[in-house]
Amino acid sequence: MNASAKGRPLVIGIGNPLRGDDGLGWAVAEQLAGDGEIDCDVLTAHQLTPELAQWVAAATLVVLIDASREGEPGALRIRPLSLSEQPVPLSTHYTTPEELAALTTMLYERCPPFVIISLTGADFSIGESLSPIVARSIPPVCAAVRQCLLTTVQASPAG
Amino acid sequence: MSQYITIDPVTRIEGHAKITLQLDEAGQVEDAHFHVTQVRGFEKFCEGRPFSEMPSLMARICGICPVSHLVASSKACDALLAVNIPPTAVTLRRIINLAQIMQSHALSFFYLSAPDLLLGMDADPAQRNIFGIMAGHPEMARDGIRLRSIGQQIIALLGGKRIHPAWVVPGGVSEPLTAEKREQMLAMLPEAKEITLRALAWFKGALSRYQEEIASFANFPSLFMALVNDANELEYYDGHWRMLTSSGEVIAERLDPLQYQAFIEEQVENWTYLKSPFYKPLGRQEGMYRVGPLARLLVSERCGTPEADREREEFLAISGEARTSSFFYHYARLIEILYASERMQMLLNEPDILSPRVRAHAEPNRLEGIGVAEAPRGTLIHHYTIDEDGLIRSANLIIATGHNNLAMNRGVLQVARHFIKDARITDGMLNRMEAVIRAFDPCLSCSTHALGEMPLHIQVFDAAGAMVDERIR
Repeated sequence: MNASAKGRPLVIGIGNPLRGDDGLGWAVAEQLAGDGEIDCDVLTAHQLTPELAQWVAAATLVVLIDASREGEPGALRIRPLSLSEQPVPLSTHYTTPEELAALTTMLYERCPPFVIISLTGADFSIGESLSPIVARSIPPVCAAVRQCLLTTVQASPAG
Repeated sequence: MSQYITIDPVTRIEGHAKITLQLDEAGQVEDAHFHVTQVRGFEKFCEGRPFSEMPSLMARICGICPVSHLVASSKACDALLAVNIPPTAVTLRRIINLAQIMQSHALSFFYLSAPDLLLGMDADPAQRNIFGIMAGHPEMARDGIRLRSIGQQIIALLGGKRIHPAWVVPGGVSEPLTAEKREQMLAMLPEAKEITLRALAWFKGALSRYQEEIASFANFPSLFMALVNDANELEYYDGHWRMLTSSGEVIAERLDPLQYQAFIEEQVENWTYLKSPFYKPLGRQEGMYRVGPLARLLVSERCGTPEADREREEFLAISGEARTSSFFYHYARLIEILYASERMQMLLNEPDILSPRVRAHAEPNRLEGIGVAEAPRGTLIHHYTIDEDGLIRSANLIIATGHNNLAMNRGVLQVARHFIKDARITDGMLNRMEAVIRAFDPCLSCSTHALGEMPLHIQVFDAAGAMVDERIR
């Protein structure tokens, strides 16, 4: 997938598709990338890395989709990112959403709003298939992403 | 009373290691060791696996330079198949290997070493990191991110993903290049060149601030080894080895990498998991050699592309007799990125680059295969034997970082003797000890397959083994 990310929302599916439900982000991203009716760029990533900052800076909204270990399997959470947290020194291997937002602001002097959509997984063992509860949750997660994009479009000034 | 100083771990390198310094009774540095402290063991656990799995399996050795392992491993498998792979497949493998050099060198220079170079070896450790660079030099940080991203995007365009692409396979590559992807890659390369030239201009201007480091960062005689082509130009995929002394004397050339066991011996030490190869004909002491970006620039007679050749000539003029200082690995890395930009542009414009013939198919026809390529950190060797069913019987890997092990150890000793005058440690001293290792850009995950995470921990022990000083960062 290519991120042209010029003034459009950016959706990033995060996870490892070889670790069961951790592949949720990729599965959702792939479904959205094939949806001709939504206007956004879609990326997949095993982890957030500093290189994503250039695409983030050019986007109007960033939606992160990730599987979570916290809560009951199938629980869906949608939260805007709080940018008030102080970033810690970056790793070359892994960056948190807060760090990615902070470094985007630092380097490009702008950063769009972030929304994190997470769904609690049931099985993160080695394998390429999602557990039934997570597989059934893909449509509602996709719907949540579409809702985020729609809200942003409606909130943006015309033109 | 002798004392020991331990720096554990060495930070801002790929993998995990520690340094110990042994002081004599007068508090002078007597000896130094660079210990690689953990082992992963890919050589062992791949035994019994089908040989066709090896490229994908071996690529998992490293998240930074998986492409290098993919290429060397696939070449070893080509040898097992006993096939000559299609010429377009060779060109495509060359391009992905150069993209790997670009992104890995960008990581080393901009992310790992720029904090020392831009903010100073003695800067506050709390600031001396990539965030410090972003705050103080955002244009440099943006350049680093962009350059690395260009290398990664080329890898992703060719291989399907940025990390661990499975596109390089025994017999060639799994898919031909499309015209659209070629145009996307060509469109990015001028920007990569511009960024690199900017970084080179900055680095050359900053060199005067680092005369002490140039003088003491592994600045000693050793051999240098790298692949070159028939014209003695830079070569990353094929060719033969050439070996030079620090004074520029060619002591061996046209060495066949497939005969590596005839002239490279691997020594095992009881204080590190990293093996210590040396040039067998000269023995362990005289046979210490260095590989990687600096070695490649010194061993070759030309780069083979116009702008990189100009920069190489300027580097040789600027560095003079100190050209063998490992501090210049940073300089060499930038010149190699420039070369990679130019060379990829040439390769992408080759007439048959879009040819659909990119893979040879065969069953195993030999029971032994060796694959050699230049990885970002130097020469990489994969050597496999298989049984009649194509299952791996043995695997031997000699990784670039291993080739440099003896020189890294001697480099730590040189820096320690230069900067430490008694048992007291300052942060600047400590950082220089790490920085000389960082100059080699070792990849310990590759060379021993380390796991885990450690804080920076330094301890000073007296001769009786009692700890007399400790610092934790």
